[in-house]
Amino acid sequence: MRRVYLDLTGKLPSAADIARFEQIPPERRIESTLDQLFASQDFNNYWAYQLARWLPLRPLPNDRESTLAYEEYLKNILEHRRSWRAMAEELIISTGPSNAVGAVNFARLTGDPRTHAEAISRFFMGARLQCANCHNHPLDRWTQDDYHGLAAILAGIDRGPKVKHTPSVRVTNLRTKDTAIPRIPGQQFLPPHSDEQSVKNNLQSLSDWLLGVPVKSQSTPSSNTNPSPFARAITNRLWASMFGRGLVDPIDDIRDTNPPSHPQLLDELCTLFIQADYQPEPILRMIASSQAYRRESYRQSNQSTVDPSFYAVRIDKSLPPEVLFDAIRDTLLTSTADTSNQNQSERAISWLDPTTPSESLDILGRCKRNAPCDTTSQTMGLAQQLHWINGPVVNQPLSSPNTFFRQAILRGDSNSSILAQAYLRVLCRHISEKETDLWLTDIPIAPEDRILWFEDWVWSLLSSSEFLQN
Amino acid sequence: MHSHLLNTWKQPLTRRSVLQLSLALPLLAHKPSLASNHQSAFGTAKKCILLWLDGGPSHLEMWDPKRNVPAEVRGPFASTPTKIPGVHFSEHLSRCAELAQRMTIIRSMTSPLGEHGLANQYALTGYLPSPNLQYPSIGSIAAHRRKVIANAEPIETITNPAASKRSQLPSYIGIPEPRIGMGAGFLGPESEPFWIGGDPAQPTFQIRDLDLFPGVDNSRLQRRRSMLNQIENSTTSLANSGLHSAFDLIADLDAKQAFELQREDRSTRERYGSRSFGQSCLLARRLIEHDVPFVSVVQPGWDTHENLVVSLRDGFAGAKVGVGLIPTFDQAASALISDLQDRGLLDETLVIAMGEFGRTPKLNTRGGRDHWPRAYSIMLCGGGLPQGLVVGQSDKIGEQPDSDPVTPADLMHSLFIRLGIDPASTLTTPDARPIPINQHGKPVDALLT
Repeated sequence: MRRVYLDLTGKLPSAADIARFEQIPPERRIESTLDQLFASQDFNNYWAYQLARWLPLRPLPNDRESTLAYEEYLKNILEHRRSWRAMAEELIISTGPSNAVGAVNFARLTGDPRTHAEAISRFFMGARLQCANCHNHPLDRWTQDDYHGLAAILAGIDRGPKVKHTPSVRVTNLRTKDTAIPRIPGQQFLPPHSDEQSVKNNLQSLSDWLLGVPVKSQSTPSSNTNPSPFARAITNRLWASMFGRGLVDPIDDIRDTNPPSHPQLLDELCTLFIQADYQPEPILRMIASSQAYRRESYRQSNQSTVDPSFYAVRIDKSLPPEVLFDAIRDTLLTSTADTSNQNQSERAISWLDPTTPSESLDILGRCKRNAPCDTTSQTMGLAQQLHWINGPVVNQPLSSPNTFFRQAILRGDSNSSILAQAYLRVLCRHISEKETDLWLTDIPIAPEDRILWFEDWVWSLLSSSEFLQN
Repeated sequence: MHSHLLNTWKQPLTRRSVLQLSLALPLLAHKPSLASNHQSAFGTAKKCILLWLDGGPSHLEMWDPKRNVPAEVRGPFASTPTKIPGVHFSEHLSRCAELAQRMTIIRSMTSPLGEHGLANQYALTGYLPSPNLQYPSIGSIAAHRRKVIANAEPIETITNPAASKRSQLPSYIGIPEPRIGMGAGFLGPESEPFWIGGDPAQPTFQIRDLDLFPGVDNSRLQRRRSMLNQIENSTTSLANSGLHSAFDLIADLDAKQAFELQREDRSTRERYGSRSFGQSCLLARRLIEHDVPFVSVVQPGWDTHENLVVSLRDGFAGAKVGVGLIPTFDQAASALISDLQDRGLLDETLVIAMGEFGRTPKLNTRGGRDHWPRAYSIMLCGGGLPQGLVVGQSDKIGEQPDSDPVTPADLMHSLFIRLGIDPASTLTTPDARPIPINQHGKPVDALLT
């Protein structure tokens, strides 16, 4: 249950969530929980954050308005359950002022046609086309003509504050040293840009190809079977965010010579995604209900060599810094009374802009998105460890008067009740009898000492791998 | 001079000989199969300080000035004779020139990579960069090796209490901020450098989060630690949150003093220069004294595409006393070397000063020089290396090596030997793939005898 809350909403289930869950008849628990999660605002927030990481969204220098427009655009996709297919098209073709049309900022952020081509290949195709800038990709079918051809299509975009299409910019194919001819990667050459409309047409062809629309083509009759590269890349990312490992791994390296571990599964999920009009819920629902997803991470000691890449056991994954940051506060604090700052949400997950100031997030390893940040698992380095032990990230909320254990002590709750509350809040499970016995005799009676004991003990629970891992 | 020896190493390695070698390796873990005249070089350097001149320092304005050439090649500065007869440095390296008899200068470094990111990786790892695998830096390799050896010798630490009282300082410390190529790559977080993250020249300088959070005293910290241990032991998970190295460091008061620059007297601090790089070098010396095996100090700003006079000599327009990159480096590096010497640490401490490439032989129209990897220079000192030696030379205008070309892979090969790391050994990726610790490197004979 903890896992599915974290993976679908980036948030721990509250004690009330757990109680509700336990009242549902066992055979309906999963379905009903998923219904509730998919309908929640937390789901929207979390997947807007995921999109912001994947794209990746960064702030435009000195252009707060456009950054906000881009953030709003992504939040809107989730809130109105817009098809990701429409999003893909808009990210590629949209024009207009960047402070009003959020989607154009994908193009604006890239700065030039080649970088743009690399960003397109990474997000829409899950591929590393940049190798083909200087030479044909050594391990894949991409050629320099593909790379510069894609850049040539994108050269038709003027990335000024008001994004528009223009035929005037050219890029050079580094292989031929001539002006590059627009070309969809691995497909036919397109007509060179002559006017605004021809740019639009070529961008439309690109978007169609990425979305698997059959391409009207004179040279390649097989292109009717084109499976949408975008759907495939997204399907793989969705899987990876649930399992901590892509079916194609790493997730931004889809290529012929790096085949998926479970090809048929990827194909079927991909079909499901397309049939659902490019909405993420059906895939996520199917994954979350699967046996593979619900495996224990527990391994017997003699199984320590089981390779988790085949999903026989759960792959442990660390919580992303933003999720961890929120989870610490959610766990410890009872009320949101101290979130007096109205303008800025206190939840790190809703800070789509990775430069929103927070020293703790930086130390915990927040991705600045200057380079791709798809790494999933990371143990704490020394700086993070020191921050965890001596810094404010845990210590500050821990010493707040609003912690659940201070409130419980004020209410006059018994020690065993507070221990049980802590297990529910922090580890999202019931404390065992053995665990209660382990701690109960240890708790001092003097009121001051008792509070400090709970402070230290809750700190230890928060530092346990059971809390830090998902 | 040593070409006959190089030739024996130039014979192609066959697949079979490599296999045989690697099969034999476990038996030879502590006795690498080096050429007989290199045996005595193995492990002479117990510790290492890397002065990383980030951006690509101009060889022509530092270790390899050209005289009797057109002004556009010579550049704006004159040269000065050094303690090595017949060898000149730039006039702004006058303090280093006085110590040249202790140094080894390589003037024939050469690499094909002229872009910062890639060149950084090649220079710092010795591996040509690959998009498929992040290779570890020399510092991470050294830290990793130290860990392997420490884990392999538990008996000594049990029977000898003195040995178990090892310093809790990290094995690889970087000052102040990371640069591309200095990390652990596939060796993983355990071998990442610890970046101190502040400016040692600031009076308020301290290591972030090394001191306890207000209200949490030492006894509470100990309690938290033992509670955490109890929790981790009672669960079945294989994972471990691994806060132990931080707990150990926080508890090691002696180790923490290594970071306290205010313990140095004023004259020592002034000797290194008041700027960040100088105080960083002083901090590096303190860390070396506290048995940290590898310290990297970054001096940024060497990507001097324009106006060498301001960037390299003056520091800012109209400066009366030069506080540019070279005088700052000259003061700090010379203070470091002579201080290590005075304290008897230079023989066991290898000091490396290098960047990712050199600069173009001809000045550009903005009075600067652009990227030039085909020929450049580096400085090595201490750690048992030969003293007062110049290896290789560049051609008349510093365009390419005239003799004894040395690639970053070659250099790394020899540095490994000096640091006691067998260059024929292998590292292992997380997916259990063995990777040779050095690829394509040939020993630089002059550095090893």
